Parts: sequence; C-alpha cells; structure tokens
Amino acid sequence: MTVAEDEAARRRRFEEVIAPEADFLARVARSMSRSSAEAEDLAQDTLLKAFRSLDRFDGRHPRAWLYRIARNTAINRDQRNRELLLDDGEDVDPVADEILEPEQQVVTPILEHDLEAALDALPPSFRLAVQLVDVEGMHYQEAADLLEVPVGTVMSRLHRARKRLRAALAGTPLDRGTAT
Amino acid sequence: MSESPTDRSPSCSEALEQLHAVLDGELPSEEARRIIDHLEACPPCELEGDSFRRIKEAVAASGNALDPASLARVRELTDRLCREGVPPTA
Repeated sequence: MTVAEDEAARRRRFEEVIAPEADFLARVARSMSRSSAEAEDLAQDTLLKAFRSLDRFDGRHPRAWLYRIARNTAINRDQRNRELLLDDGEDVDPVADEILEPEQQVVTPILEHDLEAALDALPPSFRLAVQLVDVEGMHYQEAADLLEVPVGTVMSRLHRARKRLRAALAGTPLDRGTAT
Repeated sequence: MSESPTDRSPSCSEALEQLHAVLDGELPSEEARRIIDHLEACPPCELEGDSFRRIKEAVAASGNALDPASLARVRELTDRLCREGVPPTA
C-alpha cells in the first residue's frame, strides 16, 4: 500500500468510526472543562490525537477510546485536572453537599444560565457522571466501564451531583417546577 | 414463610435510597413499581422524587453542550480530517 493509499484508508476509517462520535466528544470535553472555549480546544486536540493514533485503535468502543484520550489530554494540560477528573469529590468543596436555605440562594431568572452555572460548579468527575447518565442515557454499568470506576462510584457521584444541582437551583424556576 | 423485600411496601428511607435508580431506569420493573407506588402515596417522598426528576430532565434537555460556534468549529475540524487528514507539519 502506498503512502497516499494508507492516508486515504486512515481518513476513511476516521470518518466511519470517529467522526460519528464528534458530538459525544464535544459534550464530554465540556464536562471536563471550565468553559466552552476550553472544551473546544480539548475536543479539537483530542480529534487530532485520535487521527494520528488511529493505527493503534482496535476499533472497539470508540467512545471509551475518545474519552481516554480527552481525559489524558486534559490532565497533561493541567495536572490539577488529575484530581478533579479522577476523584470522588471527597476533597472538593466538602460544604457544597449541604442543603442551603432558600434565602441563601442567588436567584436569577434565566434558567439556561442557572443550569449551566450549576453544572460548571460541580467537580468534573461529578459532571461526567451526570453527563453520561442523564445526557447520553447510559446505564450505570456502561458509565462505570467508560470511566473505569466501580458502579457504586458512578451512583455516588450521580446522587451527590444531583443534590448539589438541586441546592444550586433552589429558588429558580426549575426548582419551583415552573420551567418549561 | 419469611417476607421477601418485594412483598411489602418500602419505607420512606428505602424509597428515597432507590429513587435515583428508579429515575434512571436501573431497577427491574416490579421493584420500580413498588417504589413508584410509595412515592404516589407519600407526599414528602413524591416531592423529593419530583425535584430530582426535574433536575434530571433539565440536564438531559440542556445537553451540557458547547456553545453553537464552538460546536461548529469542532464539527468543521472533524470534516476536514475526514477530507484532508492532518498535514505532516500540523
């Protein structure tokens, strides 16, 4: 096979296996990042690395493969991400699990902004659990396999994430059940 | 004959413990039904269930996505890699 044929085959394989997962990668990158711009950089770096290392991919579980590249890229970019992505949130803002009284909440009228801010305030390991189960619709076991953690860890992160989201959204239209 | 867990009505603490698994479709239907029956008969637990259901639905609807311009650029790069690959110097 010539170099040109080799490159063409690589592009075809990328198109077949990786390209369909680009939106998934973008969402996961968002969960690992503090902003949309940071997530965009992470997703693009991950795509470039995936393309270059496609020869080493066995073709099974492309989402898990992309997730691992993205996670390692995020960690290499900033070592502080290691703890944030891999921990169970025990050492991350421990008071945040407490339920605050309604008058302690900052009430803002824009639901999308409220939710985005509440999600951004979660530790990334929590955000990923919510992302995989609530947005991607994964079963606990699927999320655990992808994150390479026990099922109980996924459940714990998910429950605590939702409690924090509920506390952060107290007093908003979402909390009052009036959001459409 | 001893009573099995599926023969009796769950307590509030049991219902709340299983609440997320019910919302996430992780329980067998018979077990989920027991919890749902409890929620429907117990206003405090029902309120708790509703609040977490709203959280779950809002997150699912949001997609936790990139802003549209960022997502468009990620898709553009994906398309470019499919068409052109990566230049050796990139």
